[in-house]
Amino acid sequence: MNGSEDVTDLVVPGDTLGEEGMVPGYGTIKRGDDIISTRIGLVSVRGNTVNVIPIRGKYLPRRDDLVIGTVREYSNTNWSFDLNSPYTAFLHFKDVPWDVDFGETGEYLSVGDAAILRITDVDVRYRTTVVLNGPGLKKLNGGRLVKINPTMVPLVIGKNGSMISVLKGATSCRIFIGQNGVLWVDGEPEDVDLVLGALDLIERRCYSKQLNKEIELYFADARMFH
Amino acid sequence: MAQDPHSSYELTDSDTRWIEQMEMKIGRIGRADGSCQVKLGGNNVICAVYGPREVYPRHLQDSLKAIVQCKYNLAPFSSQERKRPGPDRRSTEISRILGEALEEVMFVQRYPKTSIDIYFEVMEASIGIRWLSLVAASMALVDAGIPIKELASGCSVVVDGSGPSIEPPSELSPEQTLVEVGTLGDSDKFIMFQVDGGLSQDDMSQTMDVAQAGSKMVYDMQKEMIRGHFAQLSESDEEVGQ
Repeated sequence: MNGSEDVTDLVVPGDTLGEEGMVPGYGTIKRGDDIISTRIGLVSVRGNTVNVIPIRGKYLPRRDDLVIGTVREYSNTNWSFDLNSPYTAFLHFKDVPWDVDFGETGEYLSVGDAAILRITDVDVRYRTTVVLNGPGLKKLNGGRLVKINPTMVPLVIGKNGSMISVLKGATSCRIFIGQNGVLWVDGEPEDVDLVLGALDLIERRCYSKQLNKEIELYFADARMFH
Repeated sequence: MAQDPHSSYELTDSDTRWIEQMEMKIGRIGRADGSCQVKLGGNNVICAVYGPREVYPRHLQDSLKAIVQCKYNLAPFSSQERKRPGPDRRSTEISRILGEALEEVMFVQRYPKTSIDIYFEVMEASIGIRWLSLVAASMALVDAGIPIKELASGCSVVVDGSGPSIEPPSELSPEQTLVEVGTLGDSDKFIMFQVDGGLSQDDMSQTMDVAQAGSKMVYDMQKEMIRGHFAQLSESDEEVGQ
């Protein structure tokens, strides 16, 4: 939301957006000559396209997204992952960095285990396939998993990664943000708590235009009391 | 069903005063994805929306769209006479009517194989609870972040010998007819239409005009309420930040 586009007012479904000659983008529909918002969110104009960046909603899998999933169940040849979404993702036993034999899937990833995954395919019915072999993808050991509203992910990352740099710099935690709104935070327990507090603040203050500054202040205050 | 978009009826002061009494509160249930409570007169309904989420049992899932599952429940203490707990014919019928009306509002094709579950708990029931439930549900859908074509709005009109009026009596007499409508925003599209009693053809068009004018006012209040709710969130946080 702090991107290069022009982000302005809060809109509700049914609001008319944009000017003549503009094109409807994400979160909008065209009705007659008007562009209508279909969601609650902030208006963003990029070029001649009007988008609504939602501030509420569920994650829908998209190809090439990096996500954090937890194992729901496994069979002889694949695992199914919960992606904090209405849809389950499947991981085949050949798409992992280990040499897994038939029927031995549970020895590598068991129910409740978390991993950073890449979505490789999503069909029209949202049947989702993920892989675990690739750069940056791994099984997660230790740390804490935190769920945030998936629509807040761009805010937590910030413009050119500015917000995530603040979070990492202020706490020396290892943080990974999944596009599905699941975060992995690893570090000293007090630091992790600080990060969780900052995430809560980001979610509540998503409207603020000086969010980075507010988060820096939050960490400065927190340090004074520790 | 379509009606002249330029409704000829102008709301009277008493109509306006009655509608203005409506209280709407978003986010009443923390665990739900979206929720809203609506009160007006002797009516008090709270609506919670969960989803889109996986469908259980699986055989109910539709691979082309999300299914809308509504459950309308009257609390035993909601009316003058104690209502026996559990589902009955009336609540089954209203659940179905509301579900069909709300399906018209949402883009269900965007969430195949999922379920959008909408629960209504009626704390106090009086005349006009159905359209208020519809209003509550549409605002809960907004709170849940589910894309919708328009807010569902509505109004009830009581018709008797002296003509239609928006403010209902405390009790309906056999000569009076209750008409409850649900509209798609302030457009001319009706998504719900229920009549309890008889209605002549002449009364019908006049009643539709009145209902549409009432719906328009309710719609404006809904939008204002949603905007106010989110603005209030940001203001209260500003104080916390300081």
